[in-house]
Amino acid sequence: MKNIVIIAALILISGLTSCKKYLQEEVYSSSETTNFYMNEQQGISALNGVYGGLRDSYFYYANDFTLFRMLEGPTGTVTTQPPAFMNMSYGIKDLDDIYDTWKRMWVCVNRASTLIKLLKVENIKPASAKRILAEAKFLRALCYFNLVRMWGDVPINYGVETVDDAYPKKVRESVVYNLIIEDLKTASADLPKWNEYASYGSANSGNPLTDYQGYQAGRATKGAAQALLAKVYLTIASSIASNSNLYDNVFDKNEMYSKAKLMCDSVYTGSHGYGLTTNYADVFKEVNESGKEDIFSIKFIEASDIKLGNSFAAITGIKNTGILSTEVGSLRSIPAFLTEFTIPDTRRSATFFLDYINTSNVRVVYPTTIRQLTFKKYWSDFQIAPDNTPMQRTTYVYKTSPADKSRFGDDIPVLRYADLLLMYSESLLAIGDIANARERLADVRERAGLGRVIPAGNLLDIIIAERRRELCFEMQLWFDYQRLNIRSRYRTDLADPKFKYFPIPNSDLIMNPGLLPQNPGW
Amino acid sequence: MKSILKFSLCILMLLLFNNSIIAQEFIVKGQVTNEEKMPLVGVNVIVAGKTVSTMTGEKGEFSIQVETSDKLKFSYIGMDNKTVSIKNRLYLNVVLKSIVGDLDEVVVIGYESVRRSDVTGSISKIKGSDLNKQQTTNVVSAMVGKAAGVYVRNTGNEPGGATSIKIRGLSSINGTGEPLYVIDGIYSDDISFLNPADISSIEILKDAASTSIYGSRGANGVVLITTNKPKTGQLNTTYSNFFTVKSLARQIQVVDAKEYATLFYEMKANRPDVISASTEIIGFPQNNPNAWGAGYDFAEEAQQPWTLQNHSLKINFGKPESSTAFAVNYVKDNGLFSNQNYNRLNLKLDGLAKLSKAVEFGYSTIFTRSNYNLLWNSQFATESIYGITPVTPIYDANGEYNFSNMFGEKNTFENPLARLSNVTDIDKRDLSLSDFYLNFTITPKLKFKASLKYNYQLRDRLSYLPSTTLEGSLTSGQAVVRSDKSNEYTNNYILTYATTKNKHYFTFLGGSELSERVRDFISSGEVTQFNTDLYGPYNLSAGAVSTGYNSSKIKESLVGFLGRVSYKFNEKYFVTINGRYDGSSKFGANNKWAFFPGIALAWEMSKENFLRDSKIISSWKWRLSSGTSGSSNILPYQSQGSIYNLGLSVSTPTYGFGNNGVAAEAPQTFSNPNLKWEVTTENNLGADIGLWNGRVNFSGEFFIKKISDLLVRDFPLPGVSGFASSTRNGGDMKNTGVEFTLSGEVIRKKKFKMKSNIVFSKYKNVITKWLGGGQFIRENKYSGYVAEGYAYGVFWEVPVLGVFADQNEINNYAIKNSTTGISTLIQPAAKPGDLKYADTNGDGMINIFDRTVVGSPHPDFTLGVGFDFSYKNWSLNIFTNSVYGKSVYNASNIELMNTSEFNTNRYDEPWGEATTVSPRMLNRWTPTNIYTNVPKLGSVNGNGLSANVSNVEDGSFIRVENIALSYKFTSKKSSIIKNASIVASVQNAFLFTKYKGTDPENVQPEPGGWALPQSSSMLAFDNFGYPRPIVYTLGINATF
Repeated sequence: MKNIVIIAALILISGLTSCKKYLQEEVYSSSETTNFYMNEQQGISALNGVYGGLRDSYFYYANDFTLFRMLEGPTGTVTTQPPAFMNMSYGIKDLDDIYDTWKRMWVCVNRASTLIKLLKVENIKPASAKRILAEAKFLRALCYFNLVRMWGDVPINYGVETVDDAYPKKVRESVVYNLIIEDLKTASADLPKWNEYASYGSANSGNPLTDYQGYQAGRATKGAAQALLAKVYLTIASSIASNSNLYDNVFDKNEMYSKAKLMCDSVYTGSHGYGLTTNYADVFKEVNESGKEDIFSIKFIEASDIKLGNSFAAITGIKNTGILSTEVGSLRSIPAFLTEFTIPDTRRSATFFLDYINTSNVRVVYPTTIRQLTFKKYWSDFQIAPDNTPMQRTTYVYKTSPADKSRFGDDIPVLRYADLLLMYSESLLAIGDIANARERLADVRERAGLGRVIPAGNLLDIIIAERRRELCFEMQLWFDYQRLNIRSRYRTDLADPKFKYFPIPNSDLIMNPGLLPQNPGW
Repeated sequence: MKSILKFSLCILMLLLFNNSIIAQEFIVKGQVTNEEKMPLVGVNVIVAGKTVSTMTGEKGEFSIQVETSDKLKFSYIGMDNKTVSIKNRLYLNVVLKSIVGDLDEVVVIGYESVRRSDVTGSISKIKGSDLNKQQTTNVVSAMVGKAAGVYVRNTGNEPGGATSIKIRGLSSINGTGEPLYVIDGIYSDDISFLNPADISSIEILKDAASTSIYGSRGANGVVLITTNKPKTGQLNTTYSNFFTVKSLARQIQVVDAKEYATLFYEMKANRPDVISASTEIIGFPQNNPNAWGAGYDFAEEAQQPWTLQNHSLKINFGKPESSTAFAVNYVKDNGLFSNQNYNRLNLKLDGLAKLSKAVEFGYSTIFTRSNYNLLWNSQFATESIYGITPVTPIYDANGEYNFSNMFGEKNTFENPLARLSNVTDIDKRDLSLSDFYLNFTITPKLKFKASLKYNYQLRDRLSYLPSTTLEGSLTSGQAVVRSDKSNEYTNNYILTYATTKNKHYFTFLGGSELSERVRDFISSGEVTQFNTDLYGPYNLSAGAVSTGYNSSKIKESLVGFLGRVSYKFNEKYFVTINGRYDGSSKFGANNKWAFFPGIALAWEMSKENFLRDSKIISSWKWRLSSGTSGSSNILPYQSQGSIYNLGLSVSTPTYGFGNNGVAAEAPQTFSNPNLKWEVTTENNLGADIGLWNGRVNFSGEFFIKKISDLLVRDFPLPGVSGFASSTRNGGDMKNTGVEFTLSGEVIRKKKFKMKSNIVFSKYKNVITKWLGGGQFIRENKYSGYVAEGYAYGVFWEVPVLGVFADQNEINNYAIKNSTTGISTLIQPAAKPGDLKYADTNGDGMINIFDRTVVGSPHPDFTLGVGFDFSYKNWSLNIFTNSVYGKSVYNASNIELMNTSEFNTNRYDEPWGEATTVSPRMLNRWTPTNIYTNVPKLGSVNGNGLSANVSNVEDGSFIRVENIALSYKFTSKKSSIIKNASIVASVQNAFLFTKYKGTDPENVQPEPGGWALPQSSSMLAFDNFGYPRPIVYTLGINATF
């Protein structure tokens, strides 16, 4: 009996003493939040994660074009597959497009906020820390700007560390806009210019810029922050001008217009090195990506790696090309939209496929009464083989190799210099500088082959129509119609005030009562 | 490794300290036999109150040193104990009686065994002999309907298909919700690999007072499997074999070619906006119905003879001091579709040796290798093969597999036959369980057991899609090779002490347990661009491109201290107190440890004076228990915030600058230091009644089971958090239920006997608390709903009243405002042939707020009824199982009954989704067939609701599960064959149900995409489940 007591005691003691250590979790395949964000390398890696989140919110890795469908559908330029915008019901089942876009934007915001909150700045070279934070703030501002334009009042996510942070309450649009403006002010102050990147492209050049690690073209720049800030100001100003009682009267319309103009001005005259590409069709070619017209875009790389490319071109392409087995050509343009382009407009043939190869390998030129029109904007690097070669289903020429037909490298533009010129024109017009407003508009028209002569009519309407032709399929137009309160100009069925905002996904409303009430009308 | 060292140390110490002191008086010899005068080998012979003991030898003889006043105690499993006084005798003839009646059978209760009459908790036992009345290769299938409160189902009917056990309703929604399996003391996630013939008994611990000894693992109930152990003193060999032919009971019903073409062109006429005027089916021209031929039957073409064979061999070598048993089992099961098969090899080796008088060594090892060559996820197989339109050709003009769709568009159609014949898809699972133990008899009252258990699992998946399939041709071959390895060690020490004085009987059990599990995973990702299909998945370097390669390692550990005290007075009053204190690595720093106590009381009322002389009631025991157990069934690391590398997985795209991808990381989870155990608290009241000397037995239970702090692995978070979900203690749940078993020997004549057995179970499940309001189990797709006040996973939809026959019915479907008196139409936009929905909230509109419960996946009750007839050497077993009041979500309706989108948005779906329709669609609304419940083709609903028939169907059924006729040959003593029998059986002989899918018990969730874990879906979601066959079996069994 005594022996047993001794043994039992031994077992118990050895068991208990080793227990605490024994029950400690050993992690092998991931890092813990508590020991991350500690140095420059981790900070940059987390920052890249924010870019990854942004990419997901614009275009998910598979054949996913939810944001595109959401934002281009109501502009009257594309046909959208069901569920169409009109049938949107926040009810029984959230529309996938809305919920996916919403979720992915917030993933990006949370990544940015967590980085901004947890980055151990004291462990990092000041110049690097400053830039990491500035880039993160630019990206966060861009997401918030999309969120607030699509949904109105939204919550602020300050970086979720525990479950209690996961249910933030909705705040007023003005609060969100102020946060966006603050973030973009920091970003425009702390980020380097595009041409500084461009001209000091190699590391160890002795230039202070190369002190930054992770030095790559395509990152957020001072110009991008300024152009986005200009867009924010212009959005606030023109929204106030076209809709009453906005933003709790926190912002002054005229002040916002002049700030917008000022920001456009600083991009236009700030020696960033931006300019228009000579041919419109070349803007979207991969050689010009990260070039002088590209202020900011979502980057994709043509690669067999699904994680880096997109299938935008395939989705917007022609059915039965063999490019992509599914969804080929499922995203189509409305034929009537073609008629908005005059024949000399070089954007006409750069935007649309006007001929195609049918299943019998015969090239067909679209008749004037076509029913299905596919658009070519994201196909700019692909050509139809010369007529003297036998036509195959894979006649389209790939840039590199047809290794993987669905993973293209086309970037999705977010801010282009042409967009900036048109914003500039619009804000100049608003503050009464009509002569310069016409000049900037003429810059864009001239590149499109339309000369510098501005047609007669309401200048704002001409700018809007120009934006429609210049920026179609770039996820810009719906925001224009919404801020200018002209939603029904191109889609009469969207006159109902409820279409100002998308419905907040119902499942989020149920889970997080802090998001109530639902946007009006839904 | 540390635990092994500790283990050896303990053994060493015990050997050193253990010295028996033997009294030197005189030697008594004797022989122990059974009632048939056969010697019993290995009977324990103990001098009562002393440490002296021995065992009977080969002829049942023994010899032991005693004093005149001593008493000898004889004990043997399955026999009544007997105590004999010596009284100066030198030779004793002892006869042990076999235990008769259920009350004296041995019941395993976790870490020890007791007699049935001493059981205080709620425990069901299934004997090996009952289990093997059904000739099957899966233990779980054989358990169907045999234990009250235990809901057992075959959820997948493909070879090697899945099964499910739910004890007393759903008690855990995380993971699979399956109980803890303990095979001879070894923890396992699964028991399907066991050979039913190797099982001697299955005990199911149902109430928490019983499961609390398993503490943190016992929340879903515990299933204890005891396998056949080697028998000392016997040498015998048993061979059994059965051969099975399976035939389809119910097929997935689809239309023929002519019907399909008719429906298609009608849809085209109804919806010119979605099917363009020029669209025609190749070979089925719209304007010439006479040309429409018979069409193509992929399902017919794909089928193969569905057979199964099973061979088992058992050899037992027994000597008095040591014995070994070896068993081997081989199963080969072909599937319904060509080239499918499943095979399993199972080896089992057990040994037992007396090392000294006080020390016994034993080992038990099981090794199983299962190969699943199913070539496909089984849902995809059935959906792809049954779901193809009968107007799509199987072969092209050259006799090769056709890859064009029904409109002749090339390379848009994944031909399932090409897949079946060309694909390599091997899922190989190795599993080995071992247990090594030492038993020390320190004194007859005090025993110590040290054991080391090892559970090793390896799962390899090798698949290759050659370029002769459509998907493979797009990437020039596609290989995926994955390997998942799990190593689990458990080390435990158990000390038991038993003493008896006068009418008091006391036992104590105490011990500790330590376990550690490490899992390693490695995957090649998708390797593509092969220059040849020659190598299949066996030479990845032949592929040029690889994406999504991955590896990971996780580790978890658990420490437990357990104890049990039992007290019995005068065989009338019983008390058992259980407790376990567990610590798990998986929980937050604040909640690693938890204590799970249980107490059970029992009263054998029949031994009281007022019942003692009853001629009817032979036993009547009341049992009352209360206890807690827990669940830690989550993956490790859920309480910590983690950062993941975006480069690791295909599903997490990264980013690139210039022309280079960059390293990127992002938060994957946030920390949750408050994450804690899920706790089940259960109160149980039971009664066991035996009538007419045990001829009729009744056992009934009433329980209330509360589960608090439910662990929810993927508890959805609002999108604004930037996270999809986190692991949380998400709510509380309650199950209240009754269950009983009634069995009796209805006819007892010399030659003819009939026994009957009824097993009834009923429970009511309700979610008593749920964080964050209600939520759907599967976002957007499945109407299973979780909300406070409702049963878990109720089907939550707007009820469909029918189809509007005509405009009149639409005009009459109105609601009158009581104040204004104005009547408004409820569905003003509807057209004849559209669905009519119930305005459940009476607001005059149909929208999501009209959703309500339209069905529940929980059955109202289940009933198993069995009959055993025997006449001379013949015996017949008939067993029926029925489930009543349960709904099933028939997800195949989404495709097969899709009247609104009939084939319009699936032109580009080359594989996976079904494109054909059900014959029920022929009864659609048309201007000439207005009274129907199937909407018109192309019907649209503007309310954001589905415009199709409801997918929630009545899943009640009665199934004749097994009919088995067997004949036992009488053997002569001299013959080589000691025993032989032959059995013919039919399983799933008849099924009576209104369910329209193939089987109401199918559970075939679509892989991936569940907002909540699959246990919820396991309830009743059938998405093109593999059809369940009728199984005809002929078997023989012989012992040499």
